[in-house]
Amino acid sequence: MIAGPSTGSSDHTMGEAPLALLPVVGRPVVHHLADHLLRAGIEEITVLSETAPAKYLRAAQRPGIHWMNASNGSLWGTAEAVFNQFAQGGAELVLVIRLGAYAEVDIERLVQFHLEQRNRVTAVEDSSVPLDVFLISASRRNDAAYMFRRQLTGFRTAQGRFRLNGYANRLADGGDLRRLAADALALKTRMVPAGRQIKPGVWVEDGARVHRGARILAPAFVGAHSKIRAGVVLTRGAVVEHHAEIDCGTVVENTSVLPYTYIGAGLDLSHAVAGFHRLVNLRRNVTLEITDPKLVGEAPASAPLRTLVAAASLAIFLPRQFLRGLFAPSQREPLTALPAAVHSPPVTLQGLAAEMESAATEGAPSRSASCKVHPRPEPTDSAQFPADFFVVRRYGDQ
Amino acid sequence: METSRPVIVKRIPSRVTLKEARIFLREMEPILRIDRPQIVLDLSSVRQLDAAGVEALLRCMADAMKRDGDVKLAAVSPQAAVILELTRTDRLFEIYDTSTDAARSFSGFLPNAMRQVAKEAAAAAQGPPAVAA
Repeated sequence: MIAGPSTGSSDHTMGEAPLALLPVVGRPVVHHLADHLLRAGIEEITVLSETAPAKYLRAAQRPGIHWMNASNGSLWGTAEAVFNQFAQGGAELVLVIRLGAYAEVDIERLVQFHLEQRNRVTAVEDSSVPLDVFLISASRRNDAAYMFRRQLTGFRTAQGRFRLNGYANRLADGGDLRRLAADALALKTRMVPAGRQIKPGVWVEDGARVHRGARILAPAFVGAHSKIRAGVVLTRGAVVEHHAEIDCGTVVENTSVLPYTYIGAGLDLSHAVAGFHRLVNLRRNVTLEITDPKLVGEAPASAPLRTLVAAASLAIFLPRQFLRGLFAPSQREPLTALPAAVHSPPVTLQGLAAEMESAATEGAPSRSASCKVHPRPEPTDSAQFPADFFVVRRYGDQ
Repeated sequence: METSRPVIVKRIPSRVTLKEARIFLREMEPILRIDRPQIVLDLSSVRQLDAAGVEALLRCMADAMKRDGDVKLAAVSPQAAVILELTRTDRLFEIYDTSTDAARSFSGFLPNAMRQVAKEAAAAAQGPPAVAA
């Protein structure tokens, strides 16, 4: 797999992060792709990258995938060297994938097609999504070298064309990332969300903290070590990736919240991808740079730094609240007396009460003697708020 | 029925963060001090709006409503619309496509109190209702 510059107009990044290295339903896209290849019987996977920032590379590294960093300008030379290494190591076929689009290729059928057609190079095609996926016979080193020197855009001989019949996603921008997450939750892809399914369609990873006052409606995903505060509603395919935080009362609908992202309190986040101080609104097709940490913020990726920031904010918060309590003018409004009608018995019972009073004075048993009516006691504190009031809150059509 | 009160159209700058919001509120102060202010805020050039900017808009509306006036938004840019939706303030304002539409809307609709007075006046002019036989 080669994480190099794209041939198309899109750069396949969000901010500075390559989309293939960002997590979708708990794991980086490159891991989902590697799992698909390993399940199909691919024996060795090497990922070559040139420009990806170190922090995303660190998160994407795992056993089973060999990572190689190519220095500037030497990506395709390194790719050629790795191809030759595989050929010398006894590989018969080498699958070359440029990381960008996500495609679930039926490897078994691809190999069968390649061998039956006796192709030197077979390119995987899709009608809607441009893919850079090639199966190359390891013995055809010259063909491979020709392709690598032309950055997978030129071929020495006519290549065979294999039609993709599995899932494909262009993964060119934030909108495609969101679509991939939604399709993964809807089980339209072979991606398996990380974590355990706490109820049908709701996956929660270990270490996630979900307040019991929060509501999670399927399908939804909550990543590891993320915090879902009180009153939060996650609905319609909301995906909260690891170490993200959704503050009190916010509604997240059909949205992906990227790792280490903080979403402020009382917001309405819908049809969007939020992360790296950016908000991609898919309905309006707008990307916003948000500098206000009250709306969309970002926590540091390093755990000690996160602890330090949390301690500092607590150290600032407590004295500030103390001073505010001491010196700020009171916001409490004086309580008003409730009207007398609130305390008087209802009109329907007034006649009954009068009848019972008269029956009691006459001493004769009445038809309704068994029914006792207790007139309400005079209010001792007229400003007391009645306890049988409740508040109903409405979210969209919920 | 047309109202003769002036409608003030104010264009919001492209960036409304804490500093700009303070300047904006200072500029709006004399306008909000008049009786029944009718204000249209043109958000067509807004590219960056944060919580302080949204708060400034809300403060304008609160001050205007205290004096029986109103603040309407016009030509909201996609960037501003996203932030208004995010902060759930889009539902608090009347939003129009253009400043002209917003200004015209002030004369098109009467406040409830005036509508009630007009209704009573019309009823009085017609006389008592006829009793059916």
